[in-house]
Amino acid sequence: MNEPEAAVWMGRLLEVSRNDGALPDPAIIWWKARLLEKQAAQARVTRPIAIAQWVSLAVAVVATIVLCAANWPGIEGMLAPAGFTLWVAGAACVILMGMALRFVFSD
Amino acid sequence: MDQNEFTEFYRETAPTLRGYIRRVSGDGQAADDLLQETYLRFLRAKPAVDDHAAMKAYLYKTATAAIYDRWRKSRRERLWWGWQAKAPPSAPPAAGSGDVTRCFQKLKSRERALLWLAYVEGYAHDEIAGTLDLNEKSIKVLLFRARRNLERILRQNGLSEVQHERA
Repeated sequence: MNEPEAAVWMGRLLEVSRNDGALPDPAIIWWKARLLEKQAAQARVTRPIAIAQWVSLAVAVVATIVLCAANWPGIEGMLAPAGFTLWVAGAACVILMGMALRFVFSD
Repeated sequence: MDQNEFTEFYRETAPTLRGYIRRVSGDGQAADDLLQETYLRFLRAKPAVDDHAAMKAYLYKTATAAIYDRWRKSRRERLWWGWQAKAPPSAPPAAGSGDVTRCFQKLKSRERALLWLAYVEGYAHDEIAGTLDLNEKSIKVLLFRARRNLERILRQNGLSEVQHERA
C-alpha cells in the first residue's frame, strides 16, 4: 500500500470518527482546570504548615519516649501497686491520644 | 490563553483528537475521559508556544502520554508498544463504520498512532517522532510496515484493492 492509498483509507476512518457523538463541553474542561489550579496553589501554601505539624508531633513522641525511658524505675514503682486495671487504662489513653492526634492532623 | 481562545482551539482540535485517542487506545468508553484529561494537562502545563501548529503537536504528545498512563494504571494484559496485534473488545465501531474501523483496530497500537499522525494530521516524520518519542530515522520504516500490515488486514477482510479503487 503506497502513501496516497493509505491516506484514502485514513480519510475514510476520519469521516467515521466524525460520527463519534457530541464532544465534551469546553467550558467544563476550562473550569475544571481552574479548580485544579486553585487546589494546587492551596496545597503549595499549606504545605509548610503540614510539615511543621508532623515535625512537632514527631518531636513530642520522641520526647515522651526519652522521658519515660529516663524515669522508668520511678514510673514502674508508681504503677506496680496499681495492678492490671491501671495498665489497661493507661494503654487505652495512649491509643485514644494517638487517634485524636491522627484526627487533628488529617486533611 | 483565555477562555475564548481555549474554546476556539478546542473546537478546532477536539474532533480529530478524540478520533486519535479512540482509535489508538482502542477504548471507546474511555475516549472522552482521556480527551478531557489531555486538555486539562494542556491547560495546567501552559506550554510556552504561540504557534498553533506547535500547540497542536504538544496536545497530541500529551494525549499519547495520557493513553500510556491509562494503560499503565489499568490491569489489562496488553503491551503498549506491543507485540500483540489483537485489539481489546471494548471499542465497538460507530454505526455504519464496521469494516474500516474493525480493520484498523486489528493493527498494533503504535501502528495506529503512526498512521493517524501521518495521514490524518499530515505530520512530518520529525513531528511524528517527537509526538511518539521515537527515533526520527525509524519513522519511515515503521510507517512502511504499518501500511503493509493495514493492507494485509484489509485484504483478509475482503476490502481488496479493487474495492478500494472503486471507493
